[in-house]
Amino acid sequence: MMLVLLSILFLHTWSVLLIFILLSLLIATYLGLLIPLLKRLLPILYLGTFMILLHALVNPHNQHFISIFGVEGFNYGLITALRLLAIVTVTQIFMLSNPLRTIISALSWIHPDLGIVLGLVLSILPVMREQMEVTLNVQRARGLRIGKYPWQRMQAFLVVMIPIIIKSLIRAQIMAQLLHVRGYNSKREKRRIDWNYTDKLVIACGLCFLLILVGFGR
Amino acid sequence: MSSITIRNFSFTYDEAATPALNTINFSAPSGQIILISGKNGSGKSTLLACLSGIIPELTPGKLEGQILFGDNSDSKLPKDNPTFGVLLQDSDVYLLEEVYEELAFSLQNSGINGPDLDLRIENVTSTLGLSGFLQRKLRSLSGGERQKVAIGSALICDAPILLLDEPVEQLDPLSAYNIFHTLRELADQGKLILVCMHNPLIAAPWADRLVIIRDGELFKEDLMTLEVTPIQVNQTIESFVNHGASIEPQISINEYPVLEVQNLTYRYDEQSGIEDINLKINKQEILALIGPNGSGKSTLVKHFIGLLRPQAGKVFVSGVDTENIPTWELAKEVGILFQNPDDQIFKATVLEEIAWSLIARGLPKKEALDKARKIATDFELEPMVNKHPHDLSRSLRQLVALVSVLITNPKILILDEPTKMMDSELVKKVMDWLLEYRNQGGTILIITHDMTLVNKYTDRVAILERGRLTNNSV
Repeated sequence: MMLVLLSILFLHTWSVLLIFILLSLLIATYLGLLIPLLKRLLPILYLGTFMILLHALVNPHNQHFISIFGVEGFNYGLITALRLLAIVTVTQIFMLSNPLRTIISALSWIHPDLGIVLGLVLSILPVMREQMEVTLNVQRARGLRIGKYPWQRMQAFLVVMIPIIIKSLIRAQIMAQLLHVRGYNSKREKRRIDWNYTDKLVIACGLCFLLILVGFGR
Repeated sequence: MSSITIRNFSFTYDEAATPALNTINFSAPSGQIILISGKNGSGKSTLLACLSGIIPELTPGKLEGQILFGDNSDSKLPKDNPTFGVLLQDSDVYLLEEVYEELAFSLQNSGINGPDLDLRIENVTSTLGLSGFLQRKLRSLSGGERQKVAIGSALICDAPILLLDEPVEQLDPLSAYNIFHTLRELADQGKLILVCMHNPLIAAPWADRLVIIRDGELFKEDLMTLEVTPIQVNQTIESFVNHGASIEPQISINEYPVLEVQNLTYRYDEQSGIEDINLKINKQEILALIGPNGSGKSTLVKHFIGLLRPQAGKVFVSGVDTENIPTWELAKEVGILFQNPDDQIFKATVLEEIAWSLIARGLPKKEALDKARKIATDFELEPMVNKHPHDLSRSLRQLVALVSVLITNPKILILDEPTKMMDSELVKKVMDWLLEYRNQGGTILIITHDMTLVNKYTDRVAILERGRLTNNSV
């Protein structure tokens, strides 16, 4: 995956980036991951649109304009947004097609701590998401009514976010205690990987892909 | 190695005026289960934190005296093998996503891998009734199931000393019985087991000694003072296992149902959720909803406030179908207390936190604060109304959360394990208030694993098992 991610940096036009993303989506469809992948890509699409708009409006290199939108900024914003989308698409396909335990285990090959750090981070993200839902439900049950005006929504946001932040701090403290009492140390075994034929083939393909894009990315 | 001697030990938290532990002298030989009890905030968890090294390693403060391990000359822990298996009080917090990873973590830290690791995990999961859970995500488990995983993590390294803080707080009586049975076997094999519990009754038949902590000082007590025998514990288990058959049914004062579900079904997946539930709760009665961990109790009550909507069936509150009624509107009729008070606390003072439920309903702030002060006085929270809620103990935070529900004076109260963190004194105070509330026309649905509370305070019992109401509900 690292080789593919690296290769994205050598794609410099929006058309090549778009082809890359479409190919990735085809692979995701073949793996049966398209729907969950699209769900995860939705926030990036919003962010990308915002980036394009921002660059089209205020990029200092804008010299040619269509109405108030600068062409140079639009082009730059589009390429940046597509590159971000390509990176997230590849990463998410990787995450969706490999169990977390396998990824952590593989990272332990580089360093045992790396796997644990990633494991802790990845385990806490769904917990935070769930906590947000729990707290929102609790406050709604106490009578919280989320109004339609921005200030009402901001008020509701605080009512939900403050318990989440406080609980996250408490959680971090307890996790530190758990690491201590469960004897976390450097005794963890560095994982050895026995590369088989398929592994070597995949790495070779990744290298070829990178070399091709270095040569033809422009 | 599996013995502990504590000599003239004191500990004061940084910035605290008085010591949390004061001149503790105590020795614990191997092969014993020792219960450490005391009121909320008395210093039980602090003592376990000192023994496990959390204090002073992670929590600073002033330490005096000695803690000696083994032959009374060794004040340092050996680095090679895990000396302690530790269960922290808040077992809802975990490190990794899957049950297998969580259990394997301690073993991998001890350098155990491969078939030996798998064998140990298999043994512990079958002992704790967690077989089949290994690939499950911890966040998908119920509180009780998560607590069992945390206990498994403490047991798995076969450490000679076990330090367990409230090990059965979230467990149903049968699971709690099984845990203490296992602990007794481990103690008989030579392990030293220290168990902190604010309500030690259920553990008494298995314990060798009882010590009480009061305001940081330790007193030895006779186990007989708990006035509980194995027969009494067995009766509690029996009343739970036999689906409430031994609980005397009371006749409802009023036959008008204020909460009703008809053929209610809500499935998360094939294994969890509720199915085809029919239940009526009459006005002015206290109904206990009991059942094993993960049987769907919380799922059922979330329907009464509109947090979950039926996949099939109907839910009625005060005779009205809730299908199109939003949660905020149902909240005017139904007050619900969730298990964890920290899910809701967000205000800077206890008073503001209690008053917020009224402010959310549109009451002017001053009026809401006045009412909050009055109800805080009723529950003897007056001295702490200006404190930050997170400066209070867990049980008092739970009380604050409860009071913030009661202040809205709902017609129907749903309480999810309201007393699990409270000591007996606080439980009595809360339950007396609830009885008075019932006598004045209120209706209460209470989810609990505390069979003593069920026997003493409730009118009827409904039992959920694997998502279905059993026929023996009375």
